[in-house]
Amino acid sequence: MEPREPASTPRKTILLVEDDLDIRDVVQEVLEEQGHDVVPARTGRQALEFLALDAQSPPDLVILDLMMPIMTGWQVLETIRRTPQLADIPVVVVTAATQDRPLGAQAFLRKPFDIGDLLEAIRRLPARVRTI
Amino acid sequence: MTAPARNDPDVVKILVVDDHDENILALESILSGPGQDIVRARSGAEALRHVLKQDFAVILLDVLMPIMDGFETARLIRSRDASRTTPIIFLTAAGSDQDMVAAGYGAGAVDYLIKPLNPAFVRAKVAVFVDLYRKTCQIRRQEEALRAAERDRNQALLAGVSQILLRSLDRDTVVADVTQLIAASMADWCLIATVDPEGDPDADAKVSVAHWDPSLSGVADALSQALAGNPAFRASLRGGSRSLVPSTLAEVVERTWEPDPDTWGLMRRLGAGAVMLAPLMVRDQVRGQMALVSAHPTKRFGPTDLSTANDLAHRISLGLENARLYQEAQEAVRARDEFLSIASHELRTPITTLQIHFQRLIRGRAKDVQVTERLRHVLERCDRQVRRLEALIDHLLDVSRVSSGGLKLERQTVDLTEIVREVSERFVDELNQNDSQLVLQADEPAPGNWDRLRLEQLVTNLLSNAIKYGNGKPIEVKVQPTPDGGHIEVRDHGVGIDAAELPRIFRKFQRAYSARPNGGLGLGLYISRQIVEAHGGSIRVESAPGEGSTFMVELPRSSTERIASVETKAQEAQIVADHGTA
Repeated sequence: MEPREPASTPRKTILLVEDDLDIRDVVQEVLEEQGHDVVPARTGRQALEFLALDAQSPPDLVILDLMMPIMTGWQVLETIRRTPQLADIPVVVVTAATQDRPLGAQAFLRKPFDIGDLLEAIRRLPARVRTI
Repeated sequence: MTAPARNDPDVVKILVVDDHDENILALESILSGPGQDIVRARSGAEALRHVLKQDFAVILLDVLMPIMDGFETARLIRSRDASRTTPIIFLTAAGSDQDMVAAGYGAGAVDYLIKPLNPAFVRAKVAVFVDLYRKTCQIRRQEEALRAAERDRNQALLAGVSQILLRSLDRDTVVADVTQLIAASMADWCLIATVDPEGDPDADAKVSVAHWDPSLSGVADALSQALAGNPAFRASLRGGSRSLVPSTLAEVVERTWEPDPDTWGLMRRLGAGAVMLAPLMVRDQVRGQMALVSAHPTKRFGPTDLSTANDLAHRISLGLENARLYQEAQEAVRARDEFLSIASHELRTPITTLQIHFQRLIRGRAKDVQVTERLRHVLERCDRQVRRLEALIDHLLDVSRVSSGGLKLERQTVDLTEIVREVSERFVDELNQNDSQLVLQADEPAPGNWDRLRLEQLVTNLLSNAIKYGNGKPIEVKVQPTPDGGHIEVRDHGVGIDAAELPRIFRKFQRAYSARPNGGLGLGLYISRQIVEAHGGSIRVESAPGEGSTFMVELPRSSTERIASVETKAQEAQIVADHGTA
């Protein structure tokens, strides 16, 4: 398959929530190559801690795994949508779970996914979303 | 038991036995009247023949007869069951001595008539017995009708219970409905209590109580709760009698376990009379008890009731065992699906990393890594194997999805011809490896409202099967529109399928040639069928061993789905954000 060349994307701060170290590392590497700032989080709780600390300058986008220990992606997603300062951050859900796309996610990718599809989703997502 | 009904119930028969015709004639003229049929006999032997054949309201028997006298005849009449209670009046001449009269009573006479006969006297005495006979007949007829009604009711009850058992496999529903039906029919209230044969012996028993009177349903519920948590009652369920016991509730309760006053009070409010206690047995094991209770202290259950209760207990035991086995099977399926779901999640996670790294290496995007042509070639093979792994996991998961709620379709307008063409192109490498050739006939567009990814999966399954079993001979693929939708045909000229195997191939985990290590999980055709049927279509196969197989799929353009869940493509993958907001 030919690599999809993502069109140049404005630099974003991306919160990457993923419990699997290997996936987190490689996705972070790819995103940084694309010029994004990546904040990695290993659990849902870590993600929320970061969001709470940085509520004044929240990330531009969240990449969220669903099945994680300590706090699941569904809980993170719900908190984001409930918190007024965070509610308009676009969220890309990336999961190996068999469930359907959760409400409140703007994009949804199933693992294993093509990294090009992830970059494409990031590129196409608007800076801010109107929440449901 | 005599069946008085073997006579016309409105005509009463009187047997007159005398060796003198004039005596018989005299009696006939005295007794003849509407509703009274006089039967004559000129000897004891003839009298006995009549008695064998019919019932008489009363027998007038001459004492003095040749060969067999009246006393002897009376004894023989008395010795037969059918005529044991038939009243006998002796006819005797005046001046008979006291001993003879005593002997007559000893032989079973109820009365004497002295000749010459006084007509009024004769009529009055006979009338008493005729009247008695009519009344007895009437009572018997009423009893008979009552028993018939009881039989009908019990038959209806058994039929009703069978229907409930057929209708549902849910234990609680079945027991609730059955107790209700029994309480409404042959008892005042009914109790069914069961224990789980493999469950925790300390766990509560399942108890269901129903009373025919809805205003007592609160009491019935309270009783079932009180009993469910009572350890002594629970123990009595397992250890109880192995055959049906008719008794009274008080006796049963005292013998098996001693209820606290509150529980006994609840029982008394429902009515504590006669009880039929029947064990619910499965394969020689007591699984519970059924109690049919009458609220009336004087009521006794009859033999019809006992046999019905026995029958009920058998049927309910079987029904409950069926429900239990079904539930066990359901749970096993649920556990399997849950396992598959978790397993697939766990398998996908490492594949994700592998795949991303392979892609980056192949595309030359990995930092500080120089990829030679030779390495790229190896990496491409690795990547292909990873994708194969991914497809296998998808198959596993599809199976659990199909069995736990069905495939969800994401319908959109797609062209079946284009899908078949696209998928066929993906097989170029594999065909080359197998020295095989694909002849594609895909000229006319075949548009329809279908799930693109699922149809791709379907065509992929059919093509990889054709290649796998095609023996390297050309594979013909045809796709065309039909008046209702689309038609796909995939024909190979390979090993073919044995007629005996044909019915199995669309089932789960079946491969026609399971002995051959052909790879795959034996799920492809099963999933294919599920995909086609979810679209409201059909798939079939024609095949002969050594001649190859032809798979044919009919897809209706848009259909009444078997599993109704239409989602649009946009929901699954892409972006539904509002671009207008800043």
